[in-house]
Amino acid sequence: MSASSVHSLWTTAAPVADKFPTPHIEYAQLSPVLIVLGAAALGVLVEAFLPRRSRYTAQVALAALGLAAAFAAIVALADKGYGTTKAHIAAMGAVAVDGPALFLQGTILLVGFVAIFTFAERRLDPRAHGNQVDSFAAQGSAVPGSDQEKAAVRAGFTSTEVFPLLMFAVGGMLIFPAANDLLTLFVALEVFSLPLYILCALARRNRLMSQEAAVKYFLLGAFSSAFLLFGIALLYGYAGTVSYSGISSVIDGTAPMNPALADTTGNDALLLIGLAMVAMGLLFKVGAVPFHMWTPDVYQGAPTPVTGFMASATKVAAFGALLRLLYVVLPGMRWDWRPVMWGVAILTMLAGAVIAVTQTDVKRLLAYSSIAHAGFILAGVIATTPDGISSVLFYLAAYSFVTLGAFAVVTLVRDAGGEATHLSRWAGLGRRSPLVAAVFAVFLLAFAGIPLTSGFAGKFAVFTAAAQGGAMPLVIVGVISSAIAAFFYIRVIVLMFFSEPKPDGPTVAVPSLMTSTAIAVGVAVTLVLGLAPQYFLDLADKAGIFVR
Amino acid sequence: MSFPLLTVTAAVPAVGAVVTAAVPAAQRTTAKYTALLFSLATLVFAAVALVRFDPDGDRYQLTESHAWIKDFGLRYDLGVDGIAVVMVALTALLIPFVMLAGWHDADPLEDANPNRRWRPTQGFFALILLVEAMVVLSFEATDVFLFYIFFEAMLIPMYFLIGGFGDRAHAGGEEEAARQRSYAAVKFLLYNLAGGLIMLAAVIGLYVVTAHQLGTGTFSLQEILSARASGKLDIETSTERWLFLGFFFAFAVKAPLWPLHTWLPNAMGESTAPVAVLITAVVDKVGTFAMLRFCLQLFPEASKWAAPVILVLALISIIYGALLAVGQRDIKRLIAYASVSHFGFIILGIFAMTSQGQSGATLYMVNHGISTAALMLVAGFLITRRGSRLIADFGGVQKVAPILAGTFLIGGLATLSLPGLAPFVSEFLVLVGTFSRYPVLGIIATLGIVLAALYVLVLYQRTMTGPVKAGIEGMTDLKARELLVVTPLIALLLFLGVYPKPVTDIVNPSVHHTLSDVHKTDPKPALEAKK
Amino acid sequence: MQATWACELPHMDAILVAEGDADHTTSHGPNMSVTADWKERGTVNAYAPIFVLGGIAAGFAIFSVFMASIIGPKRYNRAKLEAYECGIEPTPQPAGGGRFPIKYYLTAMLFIVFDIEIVFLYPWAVTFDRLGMFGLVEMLLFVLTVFVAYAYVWRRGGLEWD
Repeated sequence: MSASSVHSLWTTAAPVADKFPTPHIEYAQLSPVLIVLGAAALGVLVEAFLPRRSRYTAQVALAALGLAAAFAAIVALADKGYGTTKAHIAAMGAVAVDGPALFLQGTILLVGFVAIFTFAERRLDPRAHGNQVDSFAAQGSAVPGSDQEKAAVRAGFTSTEVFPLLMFAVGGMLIFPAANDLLTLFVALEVFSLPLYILCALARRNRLMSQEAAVKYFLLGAFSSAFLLFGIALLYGYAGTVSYSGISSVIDGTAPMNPALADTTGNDALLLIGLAMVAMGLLFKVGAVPFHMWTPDVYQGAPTPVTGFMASATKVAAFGALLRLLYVVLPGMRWDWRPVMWGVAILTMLAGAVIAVTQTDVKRLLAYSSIAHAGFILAGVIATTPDGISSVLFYLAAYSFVTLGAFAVVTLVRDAGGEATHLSRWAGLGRRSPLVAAVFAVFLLAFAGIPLTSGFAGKFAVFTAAAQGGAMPLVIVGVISSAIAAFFYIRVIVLMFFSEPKPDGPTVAVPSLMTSTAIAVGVAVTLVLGLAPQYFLDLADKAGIFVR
Repeated sequence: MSFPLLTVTAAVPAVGAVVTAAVPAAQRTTAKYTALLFSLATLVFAAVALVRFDPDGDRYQLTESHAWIKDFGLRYDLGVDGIAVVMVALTALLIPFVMLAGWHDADPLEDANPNRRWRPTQGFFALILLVEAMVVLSFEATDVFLFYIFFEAMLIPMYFLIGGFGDRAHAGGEEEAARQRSYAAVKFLLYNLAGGLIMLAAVIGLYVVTAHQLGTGTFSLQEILSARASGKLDIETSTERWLFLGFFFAFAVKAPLWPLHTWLPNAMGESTAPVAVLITAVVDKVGTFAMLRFCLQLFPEASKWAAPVILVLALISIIYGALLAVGQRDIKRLIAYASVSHFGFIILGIFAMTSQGQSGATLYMVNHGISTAALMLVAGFLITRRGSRLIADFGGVQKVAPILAGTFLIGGLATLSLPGLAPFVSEFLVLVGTFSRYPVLGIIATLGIVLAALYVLVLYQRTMTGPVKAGIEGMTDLKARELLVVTPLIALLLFLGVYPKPVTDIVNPSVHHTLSDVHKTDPKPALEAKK
Repeated sequence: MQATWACELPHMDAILVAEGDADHTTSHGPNMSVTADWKERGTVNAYAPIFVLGGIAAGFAIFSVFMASIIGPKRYNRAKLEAYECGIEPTPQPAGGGRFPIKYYLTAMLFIVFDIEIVFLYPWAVTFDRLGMFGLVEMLLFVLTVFVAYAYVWRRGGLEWD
């Protein structure tokens, strides 16, 4: 056997590479993402070069400007028709620019914008050695309780890095629902997850709990990422490509064969296992049962502004990605995934609602309520109709602002140890500060889906879509779990309004304009989307078509 | 465009609620008069609507129609038939009395709260007006979804009224009273919310059915009725039954029908007398009204299918409510169980599906509203004076406060349907209507009247007659404000008792419309059939 | 516009019909016989590997834990009973804060940053003539973003050992 023939056993001659194409990148269409990531990188430089005292102002301004500019870019793109007639796939098949992507990106940007206000709040925490401080640790790397930490607090350090981190997270979230191949999906997932892990660990009070939350989130998140990646590998083995349209055409049986992958291409076992694993990764981020275990601990431990941001924006991004995966890649497989998703949706709705009943901490309660809401949204996802898409888009927009507002209210109720999140401490809040309690009650009623709030409009849209998609049993389960959920929302209202205030009860801090704005936006969106949602429903309708 | 009378009738109390809530904390009396003024204005508009309603005209009059949320098929459609316009008038009539009766119920205690922004009085009156607005809108809505929204939304202000301003008189002391109050409020809300959510599933189901068969989903009552009349909409029997059950469940909780009634005694017992009147005389009427308007008209076949079971449940309500009323030791809970019994009569009349039964039921809603208001409000005055709700704590009141005792007696006699007082007419009509189709049920239902006589007279005897008990000696008689509440109500009871024609004239054509929707005609009198 | 949720998506039923069509599956040629086999044997078999995989995984986990508890030697000491955290001191640090060797982590992370940079630079260096101006600009942008991280580390004292 000649040397060359032996060599050919494990190598093949490389094809002549002179036709290597120059990639074509549509910078204008990717501008929202680029602006946000650019602002984030600039923020890192601000950290590096600006003196400490001017960083805060610079960071807040930079982040707000960046998000506002990116939102303007989204509006401009939508105005040019990229959401409807000119929808197409940009960046060499990596990123889709279409209605759902633009709608969700716009939502994420607005959520991020409002979240900046809660991040930047510096009036709530008492002054530390004469310095105004926010809810974030003086120095993230200092061991809790150590001399080093005390020194950092005394010096009045603040973690202004939270703003670039927030921006990086927003950047990743913008790509996540728009990702049009599995690798971009994975990269986007990591880009928004890693900053969130760090943000979770940065609470100023209860630092150990915050770090525990971050480690838990990181470990479970890494685990789910690994699942996702494994699933991607299997799907690649199945289809010979990672692009969404490529995989879906292999499923449809219309794609040409890649001879190098002939052994595995079209092997349904690979497809099913891969699909299950990718779905697991996404359902983890969504917080669906049985991948929800991290939610309560992380929501409780993370600094409350971060929790608010994470609870709303992550959900928007992750549901966007899930929708695109199920509607673009797997419509041909819907008889396979629908029963499984039915099960997941039912479990999520019931478990979220039932377990929430026993909670005694406001943040954990909201965490379980967010799980239940993930179940309601899944009911819309399962509809597999155009109405299903638009109702989910609407629900996400409505839900995220309620969540943001609710967590912003949680930051206000304080005692000597920081935020007083134990429910028993909230007793009689309605007597002490009727306005704050009333605002929180509005958010709770929206969560409960009482008519004339955005929560009801969203719930009705999603349930109607599910019913029309033939999932009436899901609607009934949804209605039952809504009734269970109503119980614990009402319980909080009872506590706030009908219990006598405790003499040593928490005080309600008077926030600066920042948090007040965030809460006011939350209330306004809740009422507008509840009373006159038609414009936004139209918007979601128009945006409800994926590009393939 | 004509003057939107119905919208204005609902908007006046809604605006009043906002204005009242905005009155500064210190000016409580201003707030009270503001609220009263708005409720009187509402009464004026409701009276105009009653006058302008032409019983022989179109089925739905004073209609307004605007798109609201196109995607949900939700329209802002208002319109009243004879039944609705009478219910709106009843609501508008009772609210000023409720306010007057509860004039001091929400005055903050001296040491209650140091917070200057705590404004219970403003809140109390604003919430009453808010409930009024929502109740009026749910009587006026001719769009099923629109109705649902207000049907559900009215729970929230109602919930705060029960939980936030409950009765402070409790044997277990202040703390126990607070605990009971919030328990009652939560029970009220959960029962009704659960009912409402089940109805939501049915509402969505209705949307799916209409969207499937008509192309676009609609909730408009008229559109659905005409589509069905023309055969375009043909709901499958089993679907219709499920949808009917979904709707009926919500209304039966609200009405309340045995065995879903258990929230009512708690809610009425723990709330103040005016709020209890608001619950039983105003809010609960939406339930029975909705059975007439939505259950029968949207699902006639299913209504006929379910009627036997519902009639039996109604009968159980009548007897069971009355029996429990006999056994009560607490005046307000006694009246609550009496109401359960009376709602049984109303539902009996509705589902007997005869014209006497249904016009009797409608009339019953009005009369029960007035008579319960009279009895409950006087009972409230009595309880406030003594600081106790227990029957055992009273005795010989008629010697100390004869006017109070007298009005209490008239209210009680109205409750037991004494001839000459308004409820007699309606109860008689319901019984006659039921008897003509279901003689056995009619006979058993009559037992309810006997029991009513028992619990009312025993209540009167124990509290008002006999030797004056300790704690009663210094009891003052009714004051001017209280007389202002009671006298008109008693006058109305007497007037409608001898001359119910004004109400029946408005109601009867609508009842015939409803009956023709169900394709039922009155059974022929037995004698005539034998000929 | 609302007739379908994805542009170009053919009608659902068409896809389902196409899948069940025997001619259609064989038309891919001999290489697709695996798929054809799966389909002919019905859908239940398609899930069999998943259950087998799950079964093997669960079986291994249960077997290992079970066997270890039976045949493994049991010698406990204080260190063994403490929470295991990758060799780091367990999180409740001694009062006042123990020592936490962050420098090694820092060095390792910095190494990764530059290592990744090289991974991307290397293939670009091989084909930079074909990518032309576009490649140059993109690469400069990439290096710039890595430089941002570098500048941050430098300014915040990450490069100083003490």
